[in-house]
Parts: sequence; structure tokens; C-alpha cells
Amino acid sequence: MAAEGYGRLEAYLRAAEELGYVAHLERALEGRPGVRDIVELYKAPLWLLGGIARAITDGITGRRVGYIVNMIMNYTNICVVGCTFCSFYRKPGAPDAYKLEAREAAGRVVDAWRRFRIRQVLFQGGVDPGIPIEYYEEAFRIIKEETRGEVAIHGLSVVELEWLARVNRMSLRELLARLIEAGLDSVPGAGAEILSDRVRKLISPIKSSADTWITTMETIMDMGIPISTTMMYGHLETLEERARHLLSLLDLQRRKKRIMSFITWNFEPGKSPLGESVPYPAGGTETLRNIAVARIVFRGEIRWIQAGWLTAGVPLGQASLEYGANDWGGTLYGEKVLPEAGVPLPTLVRGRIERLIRDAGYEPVERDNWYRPIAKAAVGA
Amino acid sequence: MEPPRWLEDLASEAGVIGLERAIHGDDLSIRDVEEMLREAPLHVLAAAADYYARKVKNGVGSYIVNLYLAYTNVCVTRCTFCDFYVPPERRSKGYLHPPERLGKVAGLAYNRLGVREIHMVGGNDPELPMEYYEEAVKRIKEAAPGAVLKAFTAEEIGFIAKATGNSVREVLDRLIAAGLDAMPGGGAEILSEDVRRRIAPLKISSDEFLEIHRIAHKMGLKSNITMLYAHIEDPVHVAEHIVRVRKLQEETGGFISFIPLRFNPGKTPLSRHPDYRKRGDRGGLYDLRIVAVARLALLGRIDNIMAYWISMGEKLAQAALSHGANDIGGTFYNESVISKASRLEKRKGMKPSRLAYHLTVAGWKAMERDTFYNYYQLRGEVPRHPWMHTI
Repeated sequence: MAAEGYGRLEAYLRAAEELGYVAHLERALEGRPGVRDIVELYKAPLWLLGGIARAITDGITGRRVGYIVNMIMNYTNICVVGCTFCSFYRKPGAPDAYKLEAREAAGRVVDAWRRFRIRQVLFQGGVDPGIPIEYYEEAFRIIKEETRGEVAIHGLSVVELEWLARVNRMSLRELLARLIEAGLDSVPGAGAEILSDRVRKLISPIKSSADTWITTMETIMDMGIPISTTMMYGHLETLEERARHLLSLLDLQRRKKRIMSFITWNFEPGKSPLGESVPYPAGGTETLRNIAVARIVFRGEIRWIQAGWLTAGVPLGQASLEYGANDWGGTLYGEKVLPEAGVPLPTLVRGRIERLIRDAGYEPVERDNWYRPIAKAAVGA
Repeated sequence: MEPPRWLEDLASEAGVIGLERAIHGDDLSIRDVEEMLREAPLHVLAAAADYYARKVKNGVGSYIVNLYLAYTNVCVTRCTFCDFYVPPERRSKGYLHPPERLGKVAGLAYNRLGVREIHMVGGNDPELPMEYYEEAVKRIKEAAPGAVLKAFTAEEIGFIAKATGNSVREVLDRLIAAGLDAMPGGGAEILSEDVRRRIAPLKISSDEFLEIHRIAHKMGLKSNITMLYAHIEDPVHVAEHIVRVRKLQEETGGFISFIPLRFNPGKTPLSRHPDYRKRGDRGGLYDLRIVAVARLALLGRIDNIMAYWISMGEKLAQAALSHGANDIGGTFYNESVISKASRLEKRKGMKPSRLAYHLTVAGWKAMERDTFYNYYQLRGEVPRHPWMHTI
């Protein structure tokens, strides 16, 4: 349905010139935007940002949109960090707190691999000081052994890693070495929120500073482990703080070159304490705007930007492909997949996701944890 | 109409003649509108639609505080896209609200929630006499004298006329005399006869549907007009629908707003139709294109284009406010028809401050409105955050 890509950057730049945004755009396109440039871009008309972001993306990955068949394993909801934006965590001892045994957590991943041929598990939970490093080693080893190494482990977060190192009295490097040995493949960017200490004090007072997040990620990348990056917007941050966040990530990438992707999602108030002062989700224009600005700032330097449909919803996720996203992200989030006669389940889950991407006018490409395309024939039943 | 140079350049570079005609306010053929929907690059379409939306509305985006009433779910018309109705043979599973009850609910909503509009529709039940409808209107108007009663789609008016042996004019005359203020735009579906016959075979024809709006307009009754999309229609059918609406508006001027409605498959028969399965739901970009094309194709004719959050979802509706829509619809306290098929359990409706917030985030000066787009100051505070900016 959707019309073909309109890769004419020039036409949009001429419009930007008349509307007074061209200097900011040009500096961004040359890879040297300042905070003020990005702030001004945040205020530009949405269509202008979208047109430019899409034209840039066309030059990077054309009409191709990646996706991965994966699952999320939230091994525990116990967390002592107490972020005010989180509706998920429970304090230790809470009646609805849960913690899966390592064998149980790994078993669910192995089961999803058998049924759907997942390629990745996002292995993430709360910060429970009662969990020793052996827990992760056991879970990772079982996953690797029982899936013939076919399931990549994209796991833990800066926050979990820091606590784990502290609780186990190890250096971050020692901890990482053991986790990598057990099977850790890459580290997700959760916990970045907004890389501003002012905002962090307000929304996650016990979490480490913005600098610590950056230096931890540097260490991780120095050990050869690639990462993804995130930004959570739509709460108490300013546009300047968003701009600095994007610039920090761009700088980090230039120094370490192992950032695979960026995903931005809006704060979902739910029943979180922060929801009392920010009662409503930011909404669709902000979703599209943040993706487009990120694309203009990162261009091909951070090649993959995810559609973030999990918080945005599928229709808006599809729309964000037109605003600079080029990866759909993961697919299996506890949804029920009912078997259809004659269609193997792995084919069915891939077919569904490919349909969503095609409906938006793009060409789906299944990828692995490292964003490499997977040959169709390799997706066996 | 004089578009700014940057818009003219963008449109001419895109090379879509329908779009170039639209931004100059020229007459549009079905072919022009179809071409815009099919071929215009999204961001150029959005640029034109958003520019004109904000210009013609002077930056004011709106919502209404309203109550939703469905007087019965018993219906003989069996539309394939509907999950709400109960056929008469299973009447005992359905409901019918007596006029007294409708009045009572309207009164509560009016006095406690301050609704400015009561939106009432219902199934086509042949057993209801003319007096029922008159009584319902009277009771509601008595209980909520300061609210606008917008009730009975053209489909219902046509049905009531047939079922009670009155002419359309007589039915409207009697309802207006009882207190009816305006007509909702539902039941239009797609005003392209072939598709309409396939999805709603027992509904009145598209000619009859438009004729009832024409009669109402000539009697001084204003109405809205909807369009059901994302089912088995093709762009040409959307184009025909919009062009027919535009023509009638040029004749009568009686339409207040245009309301695109996304088809929500739910468990409806239409969701299982092979043509629907083949087309799929066509994704969120289709909604944005529909809104943008509606804005441009109706420019200067119907200047209120709604992003109806109940059918589109709240987040996408906000995005539509930057793609040509200027209104996010109502609080719709008590909505039941679409909620049933969309699995959106939003029957409680949406708070006014939440609707005003979405307008503000999308860069509009948020105002409350009534059915006829008279604007009023907001009641209560809209949350403001440091990242919010107006463009």
C-alpha cells in the first residue's frame, strides 16, 4: 500500500531552508551537531524530520527492515533499585515476587528454541542481591548446550552487572570474563534512561551516575562484547538532556565502535510512582519525533534503530519505519501463537512478523543477534 | 488557495498531480484522490495536510466532553463488520433501554460530568414504534437541556422511516420537534456501492444514505460523516467515498466533520473474509495516509478531520494530529460498539485532561468544543513537562 521511498534529501533540505532549520540539519548530516542543533531539530515539523530521517535510512539499509525471533526471559521481578518509573519490580519478600531457578529459566528458553527456533534470548531481571554469579553461569551453560549454541544470550544490563560485581566481590572485568565464558554474547542498553545526573536523581536515585553507565559500557565493549543502547523519554527530562544523551551515545560509538543498535521508548506511567507526576504516556508524535531525531543524529554511525513497538504498539511501530527505524526488534513477548494446520510454528511466527513489516511497505529480513541477515534456507522447522 | 513555496516545491518534486491540485484547492476527481492515497510520499502528504490543518484551524486543536449511548443492541441489519448486535431471534440476549433510563443516564452525565454532547445510536429493531424514539429524545433533552443531542445515523433514520411507515422527512420532522439537535456520521461505511453491498448488504444504499443527509441538511440539521476503512476496500473506493462527500458538502454545507474509522476485526465475520485476510489490516501508515488525504481532499469543504482515538488507539491518534487531523474526538464516556470489536476496554472513556494533553503534545492549542465546533476554555490543568514544545 505505502508508496515507495522518497529518497530525495535535497527536496526536504530546501524546505528546511525556508523554514529555518537547514543549518541545524546540515551540521547533523555532517556528523557534528551541537546540543542546540538537536534541541532545535526536536522542535521542527514532524514531517520534515520524517522525510529527512527516512531519506538517510534509505541510504543505509534501503527498504530492508530486520527482525529477530527471540524471547524475553525475566528471571526475577525482585529488585532493590526502586526506580520510580518501574511498575514491574517487587521488593524482596513481596507476596507476588518471583524468582525462577536457573534450570527453570534456561528450560523455558530451550523450550522456546525447540518450538519456534528462537535466535536470541533477552535475559533480564531485577537486581536481587541474593542471586550469585553461579546462577547465571548455570543458566547460560544450559541454554548454550541444549540449543547447540543457536540461541544468543543478550543479557543483563549495566545495573545488574554492577550489582553482581559488588555482591560477588569481583571486578567488573572478572565478572564479565566468567559470564562471557558461560555464554554471554551481548549486553542490552537498559538502564541508560536519560544520561543526565539531574534526571537520574529524580527517577532512579539509587542507580549509578550517567558517567558510570558510560564507563561500564566502555569496559564491556573493550572486552569485545557488543551492546545495544536505549533512551527512555517522556518523563521529567528536558530537550537539552535528550540532546546530550544522543551526543553521549554518538561519542561512545566513535570511541568503541561496538554499539549495534539504538532503541527509544516512552515512559509508560502504569501504576508507577513517577506516574503521579507524569500521568499520561507521551504519545505517537513523540515516538516518531524521537526516532527521526535519533536517526538524523546517528545516521549510519549507529546503523540500526528499532521500532520499539512493544511500548508504542504495532500500528505506531509500523509508522516509525517511515521515520527512520530499520529494525522491528524481537517477536515473541508472551503472545499466544496458535498452531495452524500444516504450518510449522517457526514458519508461522516468522510469517506473522514479516506480514507486519510488508504491510508497512518494507522488506523483512530475519537477522541474528549481531544484526547479520539469516539465509531463508537456514530457518528450518 | 496559495500554498507556501516550500510546499509547492515538495509537491511538484513528488510528481503527484492529485496532490498538486489539492494544495491549490482545485477541484478533485476520484482519480486525483486515489492517486494521492496510493502514490504521494508520506512525508510530502503529511507536510501538506499538517500545514493546512494548522492554518485553517488557526492552531486550535479540540476535543469534546461527551456521553455515548446505545439505546439497543438488537439489530436486523447484520453488518459483517459488527460485533455489537444481537439479531431479533435472540432478543432475550440483547437489551433495550427504555426512554426513562436513557434520560436518567443523560441527566447524570450532564450534571456530574458536564457533558456537552450526547451521542446516541442503536440497532435497527423493527419492533420499536416512532413514539419510542420521540420519547427517548424528549427524556434526554429534559434531563440534559444544555447538552447537544446528536442522535440517529442516516441508516437508522432510513430504517425508522421504513419500519414506522413514515417518510424520512416526517421522521426527521418529528425527531427535531422532540429536540434532536444533530446527526452522527455513522453508517456511511464505504460510499462505493459494490463494497458497501458486500460488507453491509442489508443497509440502505449509498445513494439513499447521502440523500438522507441531504434532506437533513436542507431541514437545518447538521451532521457528521464517517468512513470505515482498512477492510476489503481499495484506494479507489476511499477516493469515491471522499469525493461523493465533498460534492454533497459543496451543495448543502451541512457536514460538521469527517471521521475516518478503522475497521477492528475482533470476531466479526468480515475478519474471516478471504479478501480481508489477503489485505490484512494494512498497518499504521495507512491510517496516517487516510487522515492526510481526507484533510487535503476536503480542504475548504469540511475543515474538521477527526483522529478518532477509540478506533485508532490513543497513541496513533496523537500521531494523526500531525498528519492532518485537528480533533481527537470525545471523552466518549460509556462507548460500547467499537470497544466490543477492538478489545479496547475503554468504556469508561478518556479524561478531558488526557485528550487535551495529546493535543498539546502534538503542537496544538488545545480547546474544548461542542458538537458544532464552538470552542470553550479547558476545564482543569493539562500536565506540562519540561520536554514539551509547541511548533
